[in-house]
Amino acid sequence: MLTAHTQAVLLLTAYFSKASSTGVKPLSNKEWGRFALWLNSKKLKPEDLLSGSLVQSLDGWSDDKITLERIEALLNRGSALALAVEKWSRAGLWIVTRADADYPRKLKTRLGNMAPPLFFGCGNRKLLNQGGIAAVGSRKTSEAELLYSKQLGSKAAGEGLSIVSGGAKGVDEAAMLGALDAEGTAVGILANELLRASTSGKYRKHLLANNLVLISPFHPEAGFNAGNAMQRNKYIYCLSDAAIAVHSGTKGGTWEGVLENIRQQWVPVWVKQTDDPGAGNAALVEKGAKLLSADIEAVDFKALAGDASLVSNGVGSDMFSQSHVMEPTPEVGKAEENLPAPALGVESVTGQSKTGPSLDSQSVEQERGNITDDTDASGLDRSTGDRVDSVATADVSQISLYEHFLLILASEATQSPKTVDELLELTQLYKTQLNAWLKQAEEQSKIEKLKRPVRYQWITTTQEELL
Amino acid sequence: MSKQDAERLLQQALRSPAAQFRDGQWEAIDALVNQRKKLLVVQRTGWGKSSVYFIATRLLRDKGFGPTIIISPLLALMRNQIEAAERLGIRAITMNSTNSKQNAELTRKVLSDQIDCLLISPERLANERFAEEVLEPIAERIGLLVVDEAHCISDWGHDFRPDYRRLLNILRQMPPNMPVLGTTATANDRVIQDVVDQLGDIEVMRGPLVRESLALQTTTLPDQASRLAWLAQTIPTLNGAGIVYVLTKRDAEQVKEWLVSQGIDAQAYYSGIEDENFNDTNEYREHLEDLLLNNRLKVLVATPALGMGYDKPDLTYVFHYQAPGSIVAYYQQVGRAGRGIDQSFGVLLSGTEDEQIHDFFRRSAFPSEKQVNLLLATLEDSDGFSVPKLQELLNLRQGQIEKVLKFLSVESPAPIYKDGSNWVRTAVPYQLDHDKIARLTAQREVEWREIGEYIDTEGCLMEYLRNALDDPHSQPCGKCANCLDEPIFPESVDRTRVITAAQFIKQSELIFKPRIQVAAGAFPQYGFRGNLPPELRASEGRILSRWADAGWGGMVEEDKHNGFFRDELVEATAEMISLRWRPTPEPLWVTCVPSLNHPDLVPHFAQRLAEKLGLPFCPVITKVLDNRPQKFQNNRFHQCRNLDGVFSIEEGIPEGPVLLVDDVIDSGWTVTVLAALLRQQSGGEVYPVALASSATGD
Repeated sequence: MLTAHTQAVLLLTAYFSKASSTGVKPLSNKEWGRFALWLNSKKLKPEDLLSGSLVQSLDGWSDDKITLERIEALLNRGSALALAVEKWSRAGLWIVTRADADYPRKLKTRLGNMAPPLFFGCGNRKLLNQGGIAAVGSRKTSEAELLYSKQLGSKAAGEGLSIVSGGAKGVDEAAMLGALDAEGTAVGILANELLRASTSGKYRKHLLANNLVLISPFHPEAGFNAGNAMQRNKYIYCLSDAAIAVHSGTKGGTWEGVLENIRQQWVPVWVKQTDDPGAGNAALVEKGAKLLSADIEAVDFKALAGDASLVSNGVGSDMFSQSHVMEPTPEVGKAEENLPAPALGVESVTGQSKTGPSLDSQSVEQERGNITDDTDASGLDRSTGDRVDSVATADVSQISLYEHFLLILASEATQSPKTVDELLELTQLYKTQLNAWLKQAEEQSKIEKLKRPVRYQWITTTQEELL
Repeated sequence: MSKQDAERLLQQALRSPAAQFRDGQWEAIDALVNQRKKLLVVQRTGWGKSSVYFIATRLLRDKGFGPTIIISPLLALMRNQIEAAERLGIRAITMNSTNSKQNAELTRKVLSDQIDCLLISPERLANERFAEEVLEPIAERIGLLVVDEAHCISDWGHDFRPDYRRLLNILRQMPPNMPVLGTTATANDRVIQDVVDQLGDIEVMRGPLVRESLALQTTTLPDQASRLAWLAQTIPTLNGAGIVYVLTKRDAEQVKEWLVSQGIDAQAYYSGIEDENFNDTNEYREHLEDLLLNNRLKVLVATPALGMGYDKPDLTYVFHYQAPGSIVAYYQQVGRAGRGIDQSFGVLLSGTEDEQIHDFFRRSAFPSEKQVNLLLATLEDSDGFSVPKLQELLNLRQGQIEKVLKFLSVESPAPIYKDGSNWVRTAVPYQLDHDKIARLTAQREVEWREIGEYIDTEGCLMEYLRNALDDPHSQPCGKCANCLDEPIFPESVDRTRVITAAQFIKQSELIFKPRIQVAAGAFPQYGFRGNLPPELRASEGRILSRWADAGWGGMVEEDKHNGFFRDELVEATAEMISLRWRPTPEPLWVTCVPSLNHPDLVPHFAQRLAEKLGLPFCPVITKVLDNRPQKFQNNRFHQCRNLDGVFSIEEGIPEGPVLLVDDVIDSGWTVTVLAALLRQQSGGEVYPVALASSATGD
């Protein structure tokens, strides 16, 4: 039986049938974030809306998009919820909400309020908080790439690391099955048809053996949808400790995903070296991804996540550099050793010069140094997203300008939201710079944009935890 | 919404300006509509639960909610209920049969919000297609869910009903703000407590179960002939219509035939009963219910399929030809008598076969571990199979396969899941719950013993029932056979009538319906596929008895073991053919099914039968392959496959219609295939005839 909390979140945010009938639209992640924040400010829990007078409970709530009528109609979908949930749980699916201990913590810290309010899932939910190596790549790819993906999976398994992937045909599936067939573990974050995948012959035995968890934030019977697939990519990166793109086109899901990750600085992302002229791998490296050896034997998993990110970050001259000066994880305490590497920010874990066209030997040395300093696997679990908490206590001299900006927001815009003019006054920034950073902070769910008048409110960690 | 406003609706519905709410009616409406609560109402039949849900529906519709869904084993709302609903402007309909012609139209009405109240069966609710096409599109707006006969969702209810199990799982997921009304007229404390435990936050409203006009009696008459005679002598003495409850479909037919032969206007009623004048079984069943309701029938001989929800205020009597399995079931059934009249009667007859039948019911209530494991192992490494494919892969009867599938699919979480027409294994580890099965089986044994105690008790019968149902208001009724200290109806039966009944039982032959549709890919040699063409089909046949039954069946069983069928059976069969059956065109010769294990048994019998009938006996069929016994083939595919290429027919067989004789018929495939082979050569009709049927009904 679901808790009233889960029921309330489902009622407000989930679709209950494939073809959404004429009914009202469930709240989007963003809308839910907004509404949940307000509820929290009123000391209300979502489940409180399931009893007593809704009009009374929601007194004072006013939002153009999220009207009282919409909330009421969503909450009155009880029978639809029961029919759908009975069907899904009969098939062995479960639901985790942000309030559940098994909800992936990395998603909350990295995405803030943009993390989905709930996931449908099947299999061993404990795997959701164990991190792992994200393996992504094209659906259509060569036999050689598939073999590489499979070996990647089995090698990760050998080192006790989970493979985090999207369960799509091609690279995703090969890497996951590679890990599972080697008795390793895998986390699949699906964009469509979770229900069917959970009963498929290929995954069933691994689910039964507790080696696999499949989750999806979407309706478990939803068909393929490019938008959902793109959104899902975020979660693959954010749930992992480091990502490997085996093969990318020059556009499409993998390409966009890698770029987004570079932009957002979630995890170190590595792109396999390839001779395929149609591949976008090399271009991604130019944009800030790191080059991974095509020789699977030479890949050192423990180093992928390590502090490698420090070396390549923040130095590129591309359009993203401005927005991600946000830098080392402060609690690492090795800032001095890990000075940002100059120049290209392209490097190879293997240190073999032939694998990288523009390899910087200094950064390789640097990287090796890190590996020897920090060889235990726990390095993988160190979440770059812990920044939100740690930033407040960090030494100002060690943090980026953007993070400094966040600090100001945290101290000034927590109690009461601030207008753009007030923030200009406070920060003494140029308006364009301020707007750029506000936008970035909003995207990362550090702040909430309020309307009429436009104001910005800092989202505190405590609120996130509560929700 | 206030009580006064609601009461005006009641007056409108009942067309009675003076009508007032009965105890609890307004409280129930208020809890559902104003407080959006979950409610279990335990009230006797006739208390007026339909007023509660119709008025609640009207109020919720006026507030802008979607339709009310009523889950009920009833096939349709009673006409007077629909009329009451219409007076409130409520459009109430039933959707029940998958193939019903009106379904498309009704679906359209439901989807376009022209329906206020939709009645469906639990089976319908569990039907994937119905859920997808009708229920899901409106589910987001459903205003109220009503569960009729809510005691069925308890494990402790008197029967294991898989579709109620599914319903329970749905109810368990209903959020706190979704109003649900459960109703039952029969539930003891344990059942009520179990429902509350299972559903959590549900309020119980309970009224007295008293049935003041009902006079009870128990009478033990061990043999069927005496009980048939008792019914025939008692029913005509009563004014008004009633129900005779039996345990099996076969008994329903037999008792009905007997009563009709005694000049009593009777009909049989059971799930799946069909009649050529009606499109499907539901339509026919509704017709039978209507006949009884309007007193256009003296007696309906019914299995427990008639019961729940059936509400006829002036039912004069409810007799039980065989004892039901529990007090709850008995009260449920006998409680239909005499709600609105001054005097009504409930007599429980019991006999020797009751124990055997209930033992069989208990043993077959759950699938065996072997069957479960076999099925799961078959699905294990696949992406799913359809039922026909499973029949091919598993040598289990279709009924057994469906039973295992149903049983497993209502577990939650379940080890199997239906995806379109395929069944797939889910990622849910599964172990048959032996403890639970043992517990439920033991419970049913206890319940059966309680029935025995009821039959033997010397105290007030009504008080016994009410105590067993935890009715706090229970006291001696003063009108049952025990309170009066003399039987209401004589327990002795007229000798000559008993003899007639005994003869009748011996003439209770069965009609054999030949099979038509062969299993795909089962006859590579004979080349049969799809529906057998009419010119190759067997004609309807006759079977003298049911294996080991009280008529000839016992003798057939004994003689088969001894290797010789006595002349009495030859005579009985000849009599059946020439006096009662009289097939036309008349058969001109006799042949029989050959056997390699018992080469003489059937030919000997068939030869003597042919002599008796004055026809030539020509054993033209030979068995050319020693196949495995047909009785070990458990479903159509295996039954067909096992016969392919097994027989050959002599050249130059006689022309004209023929009697095809066998001893025991099970699936009927052997005679169906032989008929086709015979007709390929001669073209004359083939009439199957056998001594006994061992068919299990699926």
